[in-house]
Amino acid sequence: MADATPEDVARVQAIFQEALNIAAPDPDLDIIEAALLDSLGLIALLFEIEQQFGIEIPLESLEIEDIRSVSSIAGLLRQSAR
Amino acid sequence: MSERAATSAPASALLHERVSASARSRMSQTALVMGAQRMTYGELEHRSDRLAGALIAAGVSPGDRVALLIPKSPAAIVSMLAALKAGAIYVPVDVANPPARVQRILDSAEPSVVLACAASARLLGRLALGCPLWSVEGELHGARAVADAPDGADGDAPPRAPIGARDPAHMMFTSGSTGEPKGVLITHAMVLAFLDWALPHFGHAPGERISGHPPLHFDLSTFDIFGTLCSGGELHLLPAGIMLPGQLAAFIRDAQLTQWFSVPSTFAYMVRGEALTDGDLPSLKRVIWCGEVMPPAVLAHWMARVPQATYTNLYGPTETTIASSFHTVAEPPGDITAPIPIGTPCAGEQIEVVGEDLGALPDGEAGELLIGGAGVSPGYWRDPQRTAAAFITSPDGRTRRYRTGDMGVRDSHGVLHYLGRRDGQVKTRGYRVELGEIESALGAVPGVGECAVVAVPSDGFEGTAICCAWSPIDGFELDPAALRSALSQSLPGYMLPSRWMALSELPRNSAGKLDRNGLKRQFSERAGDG
Repeated sequence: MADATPEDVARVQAIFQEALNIAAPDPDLDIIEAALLDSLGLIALLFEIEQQFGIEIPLESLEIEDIRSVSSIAGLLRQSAR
Repeated sequence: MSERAATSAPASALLHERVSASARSRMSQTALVMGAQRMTYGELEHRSDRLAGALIAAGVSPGDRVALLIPKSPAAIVSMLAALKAGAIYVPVDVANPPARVQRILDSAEPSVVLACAASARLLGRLALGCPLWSVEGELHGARAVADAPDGADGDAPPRAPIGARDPAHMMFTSGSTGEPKGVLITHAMVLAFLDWALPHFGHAPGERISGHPPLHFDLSTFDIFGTLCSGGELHLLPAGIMLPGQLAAFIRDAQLTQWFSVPSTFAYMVRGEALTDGDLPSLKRVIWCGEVMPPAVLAHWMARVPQATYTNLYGPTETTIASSFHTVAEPPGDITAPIPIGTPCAGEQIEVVGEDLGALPDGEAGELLIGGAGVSPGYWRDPQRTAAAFITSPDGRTRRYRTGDMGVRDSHGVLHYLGRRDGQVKTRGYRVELGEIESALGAVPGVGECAVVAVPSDGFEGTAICCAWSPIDGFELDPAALRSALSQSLPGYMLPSRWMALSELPRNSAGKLDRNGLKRQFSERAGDG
């Protein structure tokens, strides 16, 4: 997986806080383990990321590791079509 | 409004008593399933009786609030029922919310007890509670553990609190236009009126396996929870960690669910994730959605792959309880640009299309939707001003109707169609947003000359993108990130625009007025390029 830039990490954290009303998690916190997101929260998060970054996330090949932390979600941005 | 309405209806018209009546004839059958966890009707009754007894012993009285800081789970459902059996109003809180928002909700609700679990430990560490904290599952610092309280002797009379059908059962906090949470009061009678229509209509029966997807703080959850338990079915809750499109499909497939009830963005997510194959999910009899507009292309995809199920659109805001109208789609949409109707009112509900003077409009004319009947809430918790603005009482005082802020039209067949939010309002991710409020906040940012905020339909998971066009004043360095940051000081996150366009001047129409439709087109075209 491509490394996430600090800017992307900060923006994904901002989306948690602003769009989902979820306190911004540390970049490497296991958000699945911490049960910060349920499926509806994840869907809203991915929707908002697509909107704000103008990208399409390849949902058909999405894996749990891609969404395990803010860092891995930010890394996902690099692999998505702009 | 008073915190407890007068009690006049017979006690059997209470939600938890309906569940108990259903449980008594099937004590050894499964009521709740979540992952490897199963709970029988007998266990659910026993545990909720015991917890209700503890609440009553601790002084919880009819009309008191009991806050639930517990994600949807068997323990959460035990807690809901226990609060109701104690005569209290349960107040579900999203434990993923920032502590400041949870604190505002608790300060407003003033619960007598907070029921929590180990999953809410991080949140609780940052809250100031003015009442006792109990843990219903797992260890929690500073909490009284009630999960393992000693059993009462068998044959103890179950607790019974003196409340009536018109007393509130729960209170759901939704976001107000200023970002301040407001509590919508929902009575026992309101939920039961919906179930009295829905259960026979959809054919709920013992042995059905029904999904429990919407979280407790969405009022849709009361349909899957009480609908299943009152009809003797099995409620299958999504275990934490079921997140990917394929996992959602596998959950339905493996549990052999007979009903799947969710919001359209979940359906769209599963389509884009290519989660469904031809002839998939053969156990499904009913597919139901509510809360958002279902994209017809998404529905067509589902109906092609899961052809044996019946597909029903439900429509209605929290303020009128779960849903107020329904439309069952007979055939897969041929024209994917034609929106799916919101249909006809559920039994006991009335929907009127009215003009700006609130007078009824003839069929074929677009106006605001007003909802009356059995589902109309008594109002917002301790907020007579906003209650009076949103709920209209007839001059004779006998009927109350809720102003939805939704626009619609009734066609010549009597079928209602949804036309979006009232001018200047949009709905995004379930929140109602006033575009004018965003514009005034933008206008106050130094360096912003003219500005306009418009809503544009988006082809993402969900309906609407908030778009901002502005003209910078010479000499100011402003980019979208700086504007966003400035706006976030005064607006809640869901009101922040997601698309931005700087223009030297904003487009005008021939009358010299701001050309909002032109702006919408520009934003739509731009999105198409990306």
